[in-house]
Amino acid sequence: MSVPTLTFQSNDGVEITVARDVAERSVLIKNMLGDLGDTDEAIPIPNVNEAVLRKVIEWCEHHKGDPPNTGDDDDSRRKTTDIDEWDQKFMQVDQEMLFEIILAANYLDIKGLLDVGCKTVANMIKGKSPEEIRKTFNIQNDFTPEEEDQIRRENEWAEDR
Amino acid sequence: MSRIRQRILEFFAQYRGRIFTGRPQRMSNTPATGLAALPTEVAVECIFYMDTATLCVLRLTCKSFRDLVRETLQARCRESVLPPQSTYDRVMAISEDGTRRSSRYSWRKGRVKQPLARLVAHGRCDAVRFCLDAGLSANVYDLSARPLLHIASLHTQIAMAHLLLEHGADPHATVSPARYTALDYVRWIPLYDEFEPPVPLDEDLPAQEDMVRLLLGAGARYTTENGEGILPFLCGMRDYQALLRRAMLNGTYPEPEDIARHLLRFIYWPEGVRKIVEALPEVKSAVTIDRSRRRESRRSAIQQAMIEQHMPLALEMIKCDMPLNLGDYRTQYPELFIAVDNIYHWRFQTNTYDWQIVHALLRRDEIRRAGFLPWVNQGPNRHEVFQFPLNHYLLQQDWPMVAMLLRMNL
Repeated sequence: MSVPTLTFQSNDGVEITVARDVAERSVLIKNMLGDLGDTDEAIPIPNVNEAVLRKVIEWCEHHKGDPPNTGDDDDSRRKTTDIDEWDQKFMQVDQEMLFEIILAANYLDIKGLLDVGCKTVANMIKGKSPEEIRKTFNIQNDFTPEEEDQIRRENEWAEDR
Repeated sequence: MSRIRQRILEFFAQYRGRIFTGRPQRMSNTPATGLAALPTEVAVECIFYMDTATLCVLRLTCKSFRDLVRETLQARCRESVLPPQSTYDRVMAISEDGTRRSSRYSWRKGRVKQPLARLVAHGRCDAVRFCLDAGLSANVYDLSARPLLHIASLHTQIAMAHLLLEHGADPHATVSPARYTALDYVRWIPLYDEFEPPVPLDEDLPAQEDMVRLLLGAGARYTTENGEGILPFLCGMRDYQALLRRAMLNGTYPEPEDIARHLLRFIYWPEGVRKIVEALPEVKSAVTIDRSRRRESRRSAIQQAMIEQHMPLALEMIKCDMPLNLGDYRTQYPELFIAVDNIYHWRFQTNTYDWQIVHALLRRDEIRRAGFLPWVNQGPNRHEVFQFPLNHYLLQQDWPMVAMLLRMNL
Protein backbone atom coordinates (compact mmCIF):
# COMPACT_ATOMS: atom_id res chain seq x y z
CA MET A 1 0.00 0.00 0.00
CA SER A 2 1.46 3.30 -0.96
CA VAL A 3 1.60 6.19 1.47
CA PRO A 4 -0.73 9.03 0.43
CA THR A 5 1.32 11.93 -0.79
CA LEU A 6 0.91 15.60 -1.56
CA THR A 7 2.81 17.81 -3.96
CA PHE A 8 3.89 21.31 -3.05
CA GLN A 9 5.00 23.97 -5.42
CA SER A 10 7.37 26.58 -4.13
CA ASN A 11 7.20 30.13 -5.40
CA ASP A 12 10.08 29.52 -7.79
CA GLY A 13 8.14 26.73 -9.44
CA VAL A 14 9.86 23.61 -8.06
CA GLU A 15 7.51 20.76 -7.12
CA ILE A 16 8.23 18.65 -4.05
CA THR A 17 6.35 15.51 -3.05
CA VAL A 18 5.80 14.76 0.62
CA ALA A 19 3.99 12.12 2.61
CA ARG A 20 0.65 13.37 3.73
CA ASP A 21 1.16 12.83 7.49
CA VAL A 22 4.39 14.80 7.25
CA ALA A 23 2.63 17.66 5.52
CA GLU A 24 -0.05 17.68 8.15
CA ARG A 25 2.41 18.96 10.76
CA SER A 26 1.38 22.25 9.23
CA VAL A 27 -1.93 23.34 10.66
CA LEU A 28 -2.53 25.51 7.62
CA ILE A 29 -2.23 22.58 5.22
CA LYS A 30 -4.25 20.34 7.48
CA ASN A 31 -7.10 22.82 7.66
CA MET A 32 -6.91 23.42 3.98
CA LEU A 33 -7.22 19.73 3.21
CA GLY A 34 -10.09 19.52 5.66
CA ASP A 35 -11.86 22.40 3.92
CA LEU A 36 -11.13 21.71 0.29
CA GLY A 37 -10.80 17.93 0.28
CA ASP A 38 -8.01 15.91 -1.28
CA THR A 39 -6.28 17.11 -4.38
CA ASP A 40 -3.84 15.61 -6.84
CA GLU A 41 -2.63 18.95 -8.02
CA ALA A 42 0.48 20.68 -6.82
CA ILE A 43 -0.34 22.97 -3.90
CA PRO A 44 1.22 26.37 -4.44
CA ILE A 45 2.97 27.82 -1.43
CA PRO A 46 3.36 31.52 -2.15
CA ASN A 47 6.48 33.35 -0.98
CA VAL A 48 8.33 30.29 0.28
CA ASN A 49 11.19 29.32 -2.02
CA GLU A 50 12.58 25.91 -2.74
CA ALA A 51 15.49 25.87 -0.30
CA VAL A 52 13.37 27.00 2.59
CA LEU A 53 10.56 24.64 1.73
CA ARG A 54 13.00 21.71 1.67
CA LYS A 55 14.35 22.71 5.08
CA VAL A 56 10.85 22.93 6.48
CA ILE A 57 9.91 19.54 5.09
CA GLU A 58 13.14 18.07 6.45
CA TRP A 59 12.18 19.28 9.90
CA CYS A 60 8.64 17.94 9.56
CA GLU A 61 9.90 14.55 8.51
CA HIS A 62 12.20 14.32 11.49
CA HIS A 63 9.46 15.38 13.87
CA LYS A 64 6.53 13.52 12.35
CA GLY A 65 6.35 11.14 15.33
CA ASP A 66 6.16 13.95 17.93
CA PRO A 67 3.00 14.23 19.99
CA PRO A 68 0.94 17.20 18.85
CA ASN A 69 1.36 20.36 20.86
CA THR A 70 -1.64 20.22 23.14
CA GLY A 71 -2.02 23.33 25.24
CA ASP A 72 -0.56 26.79 25.41
CA ASP A 73 1.01 26.25 28.79
CA ASP A 74 2.95 29.47 28.81
CA ASP A 75 4.82 28.99 32.04
CA SER A 76 6.24 25.60 31.21
CA ARG A 77 7.13 26.84 27.76
CA ARG A 78 9.24 29.70 29.01
CA LYS A 79 11.34 27.60 31.33
CA THR A 80 13.00 25.65 28.55
CA THR A 81 15.02 27.69 26.13
CA ASP A 82 17.28 24.74 25.37
CA ILE A 83 16.89 23.07 22.03
CA ASP A 84 17.52 19.41 21.35
CA GLU A 85 20.64 18.41 19.49
CA TRP A 86 19.14 17.65 16.12
CA ASP A 87 17.29 20.93 16.03
CA GLN A 88 20.43 22.80 16.96
CA LYS A 89 22.26 21.27 14.04
CA PHE A 90 19.26 21.89 11.83
CA MET A 91 19.26 25.58 12.74
CA GLN A 92 22.94 26.07 11.96
CA VAL A 93 22.24 28.11 8.85
CA ASP A 94 22.95 31.67 7.92
CA GLN A 95 20.83 34.40 9.39
CA GLU A 96 18.75 35.12 6.34
CA MET A 97 17.83 31.47 6.02
CA LEU A 98 16.97 31.28 9.70
CA PHE A 99 14.54 34.15 9.44
CA GLU A 100 12.99 32.76 6.31
CA ILE A 101 12.45 29.45 8.05
CA ILE A 102 10.79 31.25 10.92
CA LEU A 103 8.59 33.20 8.54
CA ALA A 104 7.64 30.04 6.66
CA ALA A 105 6.88 28.25 9.93
CA ASN A 106 4.73 31.12 11.01
CA TYR A 107 2.99 31.21 7.66
CA LEU A 108 2.38 27.48 7.50
CA ASP A 109 1.50 27.47 11.20
CA ILE A 110 3.99 24.85 12.36
CA LYS A 111 4.14 25.48 16.06
CA GLY A 112 7.12 23.29 16.89
CA LEU A 113 9.33 24.72 14.17
CA LEU A 114 8.36 28.25 15.06
CA ASP A 115 9.30 27.61 18.67
CA VAL A 116 12.65 26.18 17.72
CA GLY A 117 13.35 29.14 15.47
CA CYS A 118 12.40 31.64 18.13
CA LYS A 119 14.52 29.88 20.70
CA THR A 120 17.44 29.98 18.30
CA VAL A 121 17.03 33.72 17.85
CA ALA A 122 16.75 34.17 21.62
CA ASN A 123 19.93 32.20 22.14
CA MET A 124 21.70 34.24 19.50
CA ILE A 125 21.04 37.41 21.47
CA LYS A 126 21.62 36.02 24.93
CA GLY A 127 24.65 37.35 26.77
CA LYS A 128 25.59 39.90 24.14
CA SER A 129 26.21 43.57 24.65
CA PRO A 130 23.96 46.11 22.90
CA GLU A 131 26.78 46.92 20.49
CA GLU A 132 27.18 43.25 19.54
CA ILE A 133 23.46 42.89 19.01
CA ARG A 134 23.46 45.93 16.76
CA LYS A 135 26.27 44.40 14.76
CA THR A 136 24.54 41.00 14.58
CA PHE A 137 21.30 42.41 13.28
CA ASN A 138 22.74 45.35 11.45
CA ILE A 139 20.80 47.90 13.47
CA GLN A 140 21.57 51.57 13.80
CA ASN A 141 21.65 53.16 17.21
CA ASP A 142 19.06 55.94 17.18
CA PHE A 143 19.39 56.92 20.86
CA THR A 144 21.08 60.04 22.10
CA PRO A 145 23.60 59.38 24.88
CA GLU A 146 21.19 60.90 27.42
CA GLU A 147 18.36 58.61 26.35
CA GLU A 148 20.69 55.66 26.54
CA ASP A 149 21.72 56.63 30.06
CA GLN A 150 18.13 56.98 31.11
CA ILE A 151 17.28 53.54 29.79
CA ARG A 152 20.29 52.13 31.59
CA ARG A 153 18.99 53.67 34.82
CA GLU A 154 15.49 52.40 34.16
CA ASN A 155 16.88 48.92 33.70
CA GLU A 156 18.20 48.92 37.24
CA TRP A 157 15.01 47.31 38.47
CA ALA A 158 16.11 44.08 36.88
CA GLU A 159 19.45 43.96 38.65
CA ASP A 160 19.56 41.11 41.07
CA ARG A 161 20.00 42.33 44.60
CA MET B 1 -4.53 28.25 -13.81
CA SER B 2 -6.97 25.58 -12.74
CA ARG B 3 -9.90 26.33 -10.54
CA ILE B 4 -8.71 24.33 -7.58
CA ARG B 5 -5.38 26.13 -7.59
CA GLN B 6 -7.28 29.41 -7.49
CA ARG B 7 -9.31 28.17 -4.54
CA ILE B 8 -6.18 27.08 -2.68
CA LEU B 9 -4.64 30.50 -3.09
CA GLU B 10 -7.85 32.13 -1.94
CA PHE B 11 -7.86 29.90 1.09
CA PHE B 12 -4.31 30.90 1.98
CA ALA B 13 -5.12 34.55 1.68
CA GLN B 14 -8.22 34.22 3.79
CA TYR B 15 -6.70 31.96 6.39
CA ARG B 16 -3.62 33.93 7.26
CA GLY B 17 -5.24 37.26 6.64
CA ARG B 18 -1.91 38.60 5.57
CA ILE B 19 0.60 37.43 3.03
CA PHE B 20 4.13 38.60 3.53
CA THR B 21 4.66 39.42 -0.06
CA GLY B 22 8.28 40.02 -0.80
CA ARG B 23 9.24 40.40 2.86
CA PRO B 24 12.39 38.25 2.71
CA GLN B 25 13.66 40.34 -0.16
CA ARG B 26 13.03 43.50 1.77
CA MET B 27 14.75 42.02 4.78
CA SER B 28 17.99 41.64 2.95
CA ASN B 29 17.79 45.10 1.44
CA THR B 30 16.90 47.27 4.39
CA PRO B 31 19.54 48.07 7.02
CA ALA B 32 17.39 46.76 9.88
CA THR B 33 17.40 43.09 9.10
CA GLY B 34 16.67 40.44 11.62
CA LEU B 35 14.40 40.67 14.58
CA ALA B 36 13.03 44.06 13.67
CA ALA B 37 12.16 42.82 10.20
CA LEU B 38 10.13 39.92 11.52
CA PRO B 39 6.39 40.42 11.75
CA THR B 40 5.42 41.58 15.21
CA GLU B 41 3.73 38.40 16.32
CA VAL B 42 6.84 36.39 15.51
CA ALA B 43 9.16 38.88 17.17
CA VAL B 44 7.01 38.76 20.29
CA GLU B 45 7.32 34.99 20.18
CA CYS B 46 11.11 35.33 20.14
CA ILE B 47 11.05 37.81 23.00
CA PHE B 48 8.99 35.37 24.96
CA TYR B 49 11.96 33.02 25.17
CA MET B 50 14.51 35.62 26.23
CA ASP B 51 15.42 36.16 29.85
CA THR B 52 14.91 39.51 31.50
CA ALA B 53 18.54 40.57 31.37
CA THR B 54 18.63 39.97 27.64
CA LEU B 55 15.49 41.99 27.14
CA CYS B 56 17.01 44.86 29.09
CA VAL B 57 20.01 44.78 26.80
CA LEU B 58 17.76 44.58 23.78
CA ARG B 59 15.98 47.66 25.04
CA LEU B 60 19.21 49.59 24.75
CA THR B 61 19.84 48.83 21.11
CA CYS B 62 17.35 50.99 19.28
CA LYS B 63 14.00 52.68 19.58
CA SER B 64 11.96 50.12 17.71
CA PHE B 65 13.31 47.36 19.95
CA ARG B 66 12.64 49.45 23.01
CA ASP B 67 8.99 49.72 22.00
CA LEU B 68 8.87 46.08 21.02
CA VAL B 69 9.97 44.72 24.38
CA ARG B 70 8.10 47.24 26.51
CA GLU B 71 5.01 45.20 27.29
CA THR B 72 6.86 41.98 27.98
CA LEU B 73 9.31 43.76 30.25
CA GLN B 74 6.53 45.52 32.09
CA ALA B 75 4.82 42.21 32.72
CA ARG B 76 8.07 40.70 33.99
CA CYS B 77 8.64 43.78 36.12
CA ARG B 78 5.24 43.49 37.75
CA GLU B 79 5.89 39.97 38.83
CA SER B 80 9.52 40.24 39.84
CA VAL B 81 10.07 43.47 41.77
CA LEU B 82 7.76 42.50 44.60
CA PRO B 83 7.92 39.34 46.68
CA PRO B 84 5.12 36.93 45.80
CA GLN B 85 1.78 37.35 47.48
CA SER B 86 2.26 34.08 49.36
CA THR B 87 5.24 35.59 51.15
CA TYR B 88 3.17 38.61 52.11
CA ASP B 89 0.45 36.35 53.40
CA ARG B 90 2.97 34.45 55.45
CA VAL B 91 4.61 37.37 57.23
CA MET B 92 1.97 40.06 57.34
CA ALA B 93 -1.32 40.33 59.17
CA ILE B 94 -3.89 42.92 58.18
CA SER B 95 -6.36 43.99 60.81
CA GLU B 96 -9.87 45.19 60.13
CA ASP B 97 -8.97 48.86 59.98
CA GLY B 98 -6.29 48.14 57.41
CA THR B 99 -3.33 48.29 59.76
CA ARG B 100 -0.62 45.93 58.70
CA ARG B 101 1.71 44.17 61.08
CA SER B 102 4.70 42.17 60.14
CA SER B 103 6.18 40.54 63.16
CA ARG B 104 7.14 37.40 61.33
CA TYR B 105 9.60 38.89 58.91
CA SER B 106 13.17 39.25 60.04
CA TRP B 107 15.52 40.58 57.43
CA ARG B 108 18.52 39.67 59.55
CA LYS B 109 17.68 36.01 59.21
CA GLY B 110 16.10 34.81 56.04
CA ARG B 111 16.09 37.98 53.95
CA VAL B 112 13.66 38.04 51.07
CA LYS B 113 14.58 40.05 48.00
CA GLN B 114 12.47 43.17 47.59
CA PRO B 115 13.85 44.99 44.58
CA LEU B 116 11.21 47.71 44.48
CA ALA B 117 11.62 48.75 48.10
CA ARG B 118 15.38 48.66 47.71
CA LEU B 119 15.23 50.87 44.62
CA VAL B 120 13.12 53.33 46.56
CA ALA B 121 15.56 53.33 49.46
CA HIS B 122 18.48 53.94 47.12
CA GLY B 123 16.67 56.66 45.22
CA ARG B 124 16.69 55.06 41.78
CA CYS B 125 13.95 57.26 40.39
CA ASP B 126 14.07 56.13 36.78
CA ALA B 127 13.84 52.48 37.68
CA VAL B 128 10.98 53.08 40.10
CA ARG B 129 9.18 55.18 37.50
CA PHE B 130 9.45 52.25 35.12
CA CYS B 131 7.90 49.96 37.72
CA LEU B 132 5.09 52.40 38.46
CA ASP B 133 4.42 52.90 34.77
CA ALA B 134 4.26 49.14 34.44
CA GLY B 135 1.16 49.29 36.57
CA LEU B 136 2.38 48.78 40.12
CA SER B 137 0.74 50.85 42.81
CA ALA B 138 2.72 53.48 44.68
CA ASN B 139 1.02 52.29 47.84
CA VAL B 140 2.47 48.82 48.08
CA TYR B 141 4.05 47.72 51.34
CA ASP B 142 7.37 46.06 51.89
CA LEU B 143 7.64 42.95 54.01
CA SER B 144 8.27 45.03 57.13
CA ALA B 145 4.80 46.52 56.55
CA ARG B 146 6.00 49.95 55.51
CA PRO B 147 4.58 51.74 52.48
CA LEU B 148 7.06 52.93 49.87
CA LEU B 149 6.64 56.57 50.86
CA HIS B 150 7.78 55.72 54.38
CA ILE B 151 10.92 54.10 53.00
CA ALA B 152 11.66 57.09 50.78
CA SER B 153 11.24 59.42 53.70
CA LEU B 154 13.30 57.26 56.03
CA HIS B 155 16.18 57.41 53.57
CA THR B 156 15.57 61.09 52.77
CA GLN B 157 15.03 60.50 49.07
CA ILE B 158 13.27 63.70 48.14
CA ALA B 159 13.02 63.13 44.40
CA MET B 160 11.70 59.68 45.10
CA ALA B 161 9.06 60.94 47.51
CA HIS B 162 8.02 63.45 44.88
CA LEU B 163 7.70 60.71 42.28
CA LEU B 164 5.68 58.49 44.60
CA LEU B 165 3.33 61.31 45.52
CA GLU B 166 2.86 62.08 41.84
CA HIS B 167 1.83 58.49 41.29
CA GLY B 168 -0.74 58.63 44.04
CA ALA B 169 1.08 57.52 47.16
CA ASP B 170 -1.06 58.18 50.21
CA PRO B 171 0.63 60.66 52.57
CA HIS B 172 -1.77 59.65 55.33
CA ALA B 173 -0.81 55.99 55.39
CA THR B 174 0.31 54.89 58.82
CA VAL B 175 2.31 52.02 60.15
CA SER B 176 2.11 50.37 63.51
CA PRO B 177 2.95 51.02 66.25
CA ALA B 178 1.74 54.51 67.14
CA ARG B 179 0.44 55.30 63.66
CA TYR B 180 3.69 56.64 62.30
CA THR B 181 3.22 58.48 59.05
CA ALA B 182 5.81 59.14 56.40
CA LEU B 183 6.39 62.52 58.02
CA ASP B 184 7.44 60.86 61.27
CA TYR B 185 9.78 58.60 59.38
CA VAL B 186 11.85 61.60 58.30
CA ARG B 187 13.33 61.64 61.79
CA TRP B 188 12.56 58.14 62.93
CA ILE B 189 15.98 56.80 62.33
CA PRO B 190 16.77 53.21 63.16
CA LEU B 191 20.38 52.26 63.64
CA TYR B 192 20.10 49.65 60.92
CA ASP B 193 17.74 49.27 58.07
CA GLU B 194 17.23 46.40 55.71
CA PHE B 195 18.21 48.40 52.66
CA GLU B 196 21.12 50.32 54.00
CA PRO B 197 24.10 50.19 56.32
CA PRO B 198 23.56 52.19 59.54
CA VAL B 199 21.94 55.51 58.85
CA PRO B 200 24.06 58.42 60.13
CA LEU B 201 22.12 60.74 62.43
CA ASP B 202 21.91 64.44 61.69
CA GLU B 203 23.92 64.11 58.54
CA ASP B 204 21.36 65.49 56.19
CA LEU B 205 19.51 68.20 58.06
CA PRO B 206 18.71 70.47 55.08
CA ALA B 207 17.50 67.51 53.06
CA GLN B 208 15.34 66.36 55.94
CA GLU B 209 13.85 69.83 56.20
CA ASP B 210 13.05 69.78 52.50
CA MET B 211 11.46 66.40 52.95
CA VAL B 212 9.29 67.69 55.78
CA ARG B 213 8.19 70.64 53.63
CA LEU B 214 7.41 68.39 50.68
CA LEU B 215 5.32 66.00 52.77
CA LEU B 216 3.46 68.75 54.57
CA GLY B 217 2.73 70.37 51.23
CA ALA B 218 1.32 67.07 50.04
CA GLY B 219 -1.06 66.95 52.97
CA ALA B 220 0.80 64.82 55.49
CA ARG B 221 0.10 64.64 59.20
CA TYR B 222 2.29 63.46 62.00
CA THR B 223 1.47 61.05 64.74
CA THR B 224 0.25 62.35 68.07
CA GLU B 225 0.59 59.04 69.80
CA ASN B 226 4.29 58.87 70.40
CA GLY B 227 5.38 61.64 72.73
CA GLU B 228 6.52 64.77 71.02
CA GLY B 229 7.39 62.80 67.91
CA ILE B 230 8.81 64.89 65.13
CA LEU B 231 7.91 68.21 66.76
CA PRO B 232 11.33 69.05 68.26
CA PHE B 233 12.76 68.82 64.77
CA LEU B 234 9.86 70.69 63.22
CA CYS B 235 10.06 73.48 65.78
CA GLY B 236 13.75 73.87 65.05
CA MET B 237 12.93 74.98 61.53
CA ARG B 238 12.80 78.63 60.63
CA ASP B 239 9.15 78.87 59.64
CA TYR B 240 7.88 76.32 62.10
CA GLN B 241 4.73 78.28 62.91
CA ALA B 242 3.49 78.12 59.34
CA LEU B 243 4.45 74.46 59.15
CA LEU B 244 2.54 73.61 62.32
CA ARG B 245 -0.45 75.46 60.97
CA ARG B 246 -0.14 73.46 57.76
CA ALA B 247 -0.01 70.20 59.70
CA MET B 248 -3.09 71.20 61.63
CA LEU B 249 -4.96 72.03 58.44
CA ASN B 250 -3.89 68.66 57.09
CA GLY B 251 -5.87 67.12 59.90
CA THR B 252 -3.29 66.34 62.54
CA TYR B 253 -5.52 67.98 65.15
CA PRO B 254 -9.20 67.86 64.24
CA GLU B 255 -10.11 69.84 67.36
CA PRO B 256 -8.29 72.12 69.80
CA GLU B 257 -8.70 69.44 72.43
CA ASP B 258 -6.47 67.19 70.40
CA ILE B 259 -3.66 69.69 70.61
CA ALA B 260 -4.02 69.80 74.38
CA ARG B 261 -4.09 66.06 74.52
CA HIS B 262 -0.91 65.92 72.47
CA LEU B 263 0.76 68.46 74.73
CA LEU B 264 0.22 66.09 77.62
CA ARG B 265 2.64 63.71 75.95
CA PHE B 266 5.50 66.18 75.98
CA ILE B 267 6.86 64.77 79.22
CA TYR B 268 10.48 64.85 78.06
CA TRP B 269 10.14 68.09 76.17
CA PRO B 270 8.14 70.53 78.32
CA GLU B 271 9.92 73.52 76.80
CA GLY B 272 8.17 72.70 73.53
CA VAL B 273 4.79 73.63 74.96
CA ARG B 274 5.43 77.34 74.53
CA LYS B 275 6.26 76.94 70.86
CA ILE B 276 3.14 74.95 70.14
CA VAL B 277 0.90 77.34 72.05
CA GLU B 278 2.38 80.29 70.21
CA ALA B 279 1.95 78.62 66.84
CA LEU B 280 -1.50 77.22 67.51
CA PRO B 281 -3.29 79.55 69.93
CA GLU B 282 -6.51 77.60 69.43
CA VAL B 283 -5.31 75.25 72.11
CA LYS B 284 -6.31 77.85 74.71
CA SER B 285 -9.94 77.41 73.77
CA ALA B 286 -9.84 73.80 74.88
CA VAL B 287 -10.76 74.39 78.51
CA THR B 288 -11.27 70.82 79.44
CA ILE B 289 -10.03 67.67 77.90
CA ASP B 290 -11.33 64.20 78.24
CA ARG B 291 -8.39 61.92 78.04
CA SER B 292 -10.02 58.66 78.72
CA ARG B 293 -13.14 59.44 76.69
CA ARG B 294 -14.96 57.24 79.16
CA ARG B 295 -15.26 59.16 82.37
CA GLU B 296 -17.65 61.97 82.58
CA SER B 297 -15.42 64.10 84.68
CA ARG B 298 -13.43 66.41 82.52
CA ARG B 299 -10.18 67.95 83.52
CA SER B 300 -8.04 70.73 82.25
CA ALA B 301 -4.78 69.78 80.61
CA ILE B 302 -2.88 71.32 83.50
CA GLN B 303 -4.82 69.30 86.01
CA GLN B 304 -4.29 66.13 84.07
CA ALA B 305 -0.55 66.75 83.84
CA MET B 306 -0.42 67.22 87.58
CA ILE B 307 -2.42 64.09 88.25
CA GLU B 308 0.04 62.19 86.07
CA GLN B 309 2.87 63.75 88.12
CA HIS B 310 4.39 65.58 85.17
CA MET B 311 5.08 68.70 87.16
CA PRO B 312 7.53 70.42 84.77
CA LEU B 313 4.97 70.02 82.03
CA ALA B 314 2.18 71.42 84.19
CA LEU B 315 4.33 74.39 85.18
CA GLU B 316 5.11 75.13 81.54
CA MET B 317 1.43 74.95 80.67
CA ILE B 318 0.50 77.37 83.43
CA LYS B 319 3.15 79.80 82.27
CA CYS B 320 1.88 79.56 78.71
CA ASP B 321 -1.61 80.64 79.74
CA MET B 322 -3.23 77.33 79.05
CA PRO B 323 -6.79 77.51 80.41
CA LEU B 324 -7.56 76.60 84.00
CA ASN B 325 -10.48 74.49 84.95
CA LEU B 326 -12.10 76.55 87.62
CA GLY B 327 -14.30 73.70 88.70
CA ASP B 328 -18.01 73.16 88.52
CA TYR B 329 -18.96 76.45 90.11
CA ARG B 330 -15.84 78.31 89.02
CA THR B 331 -14.74 78.29 92.59
CA GLN B 332 -12.98 75.07 93.21
CA TYR B 333 -9.56 75.67 91.65
CA PRO B 334 -8.62 72.02 91.19
CA GLU B 335 -5.18 72.92 89.87
CA LEU B 336 -4.33 75.04 92.85
CA PHE B 337 -5.79 72.48 95.16
CA ILE B 338 -3.60 69.67 93.89
CA ALA B 339 -0.42 71.65 94.25
CA VAL B 340 -1.23 72.96 97.67
CA ASP B 341 -2.39 69.58 98.76
CA ASN B 342 0.91 68.09 97.66
CA ILE B 343 2.76 70.64 99.69
CA TYR B 344 0.52 70.00 102.66
CA HIS B 345 0.86 66.24 102.68
CA TRP B 346 4.49 66.04 101.71
CA ARG B 347 5.62 68.95 103.74
CA PHE B 348 9.14 67.69 104.34
CA GLN B 349 9.74 66.24 100.93
CA THR B 350 8.01 68.79 98.79
CA ASN B 351 8.72 68.72 95.16
CA THR B 352 10.31 71.98 94.17
CA TYR B 353 7.89 72.14 91.28
CA ASP B 354 4.88 72.28 93.59
CA TRP B 355 6.01 75.60 94.98
CA GLN B 356 6.69 76.96 91.57
CA ILE B 357 3.31 75.80 90.40
CA VAL B 358 1.49 77.51 93.26
CA HIS B 359 3.40 80.72 92.58
CA ALA B 360 2.69 80.55 88.88
CA LEU B 361 -0.99 79.85 89.48
CA LEU B 362 -1.40 82.71 91.84
CA ARG B 363 0.04 85.00 89.22
CA ARG B 364 -2.70 83.97 86.80
CA ASP B 365 -5.47 86.48 86.25
CA GLU B 366 -8.30 83.98 86.52
CA ILE B 367 -7.40 83.15 90.08
CA ARG B 368 -7.08 86.76 91.11
CA ARG B 369 -10.30 87.68 89.38
CA ALA B 370 -12.24 84.87 91.01
CA GLY B 371 -11.93 86.64 94.29
CA PHE B 372 -9.09 85.02 96.03
CA LEU B 373 -7.56 88.27 97.22
CA PRO B 374 -10.80 89.83 98.48
CA TRP B 375 -11.44 86.73 100.47
CA VAL B 376 -8.11 86.99 102.16
CA ASN B 377 -8.79 90.60 102.97
CA GLN B 378 -12.31 90.08 104.20
CA GLY B 379 -11.81 87.03 106.33
CA PRO B 380 -13.32 83.58 106.26
CA ASN B 381 -16.72 84.08 107.75
CA ARG B 382 -17.99 86.38 105.10
CA HIS B 383 -17.14 84.11 102.24
CA GLU B 384 -19.23 81.26 101.04
CA VAL B 385 -16.57 79.34 99.27
CA PHE B 386 -15.37 76.43 101.34
CA GLN B 387 -13.27 74.75 98.74
CA PHE B 388 -10.61 77.42 98.77
CA PRO B 389 -7.21 75.99 99.61
CA LEU B 390 -6.52 78.75 102.06
CA ASN B 391 -9.96 78.37 103.49
CA HIS B 392 -9.38 74.68 103.83
CA TYR B 393 -6.19 75.14 105.76
CA LEU B 394 -7.72 77.80 107.92
CA LEU B 395 -10.53 75.45 108.85
CA GLN B 396 -7.96 72.79 109.55
CA GLN B 397 -6.06 75.30 111.62
CA ASP B 398 -2.95 74.40 109.71
CA TRP B 399 -1.09 77.60 110.53
CA PRO B 400 2.17 76.84 108.74
CA MET B 401 0.29 76.36 105.50
CA VAL B 402 -1.76 79.45 106.01
CA ALA B 403 1.38 81.40 106.71
CA MET B 404 2.98 80.02 103.63
CA LEU B 405 0.03 80.90 101.43
CA LEU B 406 -0.06 84.35 102.84
CA ARG B 407 3.66 84.74 102.28
CA MET B 408 2.94 84.21 98.65
CA ASN B 409 1.91 87.75 98.30
CA LEU B 410 -1.80 87.19 98.64
